[in-house]
Amino acid sequence: MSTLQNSIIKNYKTYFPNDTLKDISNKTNIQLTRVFRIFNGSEMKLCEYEKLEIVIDRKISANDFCSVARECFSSLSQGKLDQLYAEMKQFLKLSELCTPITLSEEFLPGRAL
Amino acid sequence: MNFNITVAERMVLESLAKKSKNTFELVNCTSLDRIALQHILSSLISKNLVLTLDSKYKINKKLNQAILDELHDEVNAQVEFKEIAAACFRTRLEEGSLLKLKKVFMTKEEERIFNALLINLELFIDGLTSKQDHLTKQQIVFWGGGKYGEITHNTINF
Repeated sequence: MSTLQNSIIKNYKTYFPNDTLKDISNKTNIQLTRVFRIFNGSEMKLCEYEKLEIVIDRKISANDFCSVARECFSSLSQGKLDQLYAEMKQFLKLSELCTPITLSEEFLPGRAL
Repeated sequence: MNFNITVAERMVLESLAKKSKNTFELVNCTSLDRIALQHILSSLISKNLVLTLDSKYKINKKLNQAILDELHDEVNAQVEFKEIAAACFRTRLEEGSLLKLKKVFMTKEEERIFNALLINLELFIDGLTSKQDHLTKQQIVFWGGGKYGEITHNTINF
């Protein structure tokens, strides 16, 4: 299963945790047997991906971060997008600094205090 | 490859630019905690900006022009500057911190005086030397300004 497919299935389950396969089929108009297959590892078609995305988008309110991000992507100048992208990457990097990691010996010379 | 150097990574690079250091010396110089430092060093080593030698870390001085250009990338510099300014804003009420912004009218004469004061300030700052190796004790200072209209125009149209 591709990363993109994994990601949208995970998102769907986040926003609709109690949906049965039949519910998913009803919301997306994807055949029930196809829903079963793609949620169990079969490769998703682009149109199926889009149908899942539409259902998720409708769930998300206009103020939600992802909606605003998509709107930014379609509306903002390249200069503003470059800056937003760089800022988001920085925040991600800075947020990782608090997570303990284990480095191999070669990366930790002079470790002992 | 875009390095997206963070303020913290740049601090470590500046520390190593003076001389190579081990972990303890880096913690002492930057006052970064060990976990953050581990992440930063891992990131800088993976980008080949920092090398390890004889139980110490050192700057890789053999960087090609493409990498040097990335390190001085304007968008990234802008993001770093914004992060520093934002951090100064967040800490502005703390002891030892200072951040002021004013909008004023100046006559031509007043503008000449202001520019002369700025030149004096710059000469003073340029005359200061990095006597200490403790980066954590350095003061970050920034100054500048512009016409309100031009700045507002730029925020809309860039």
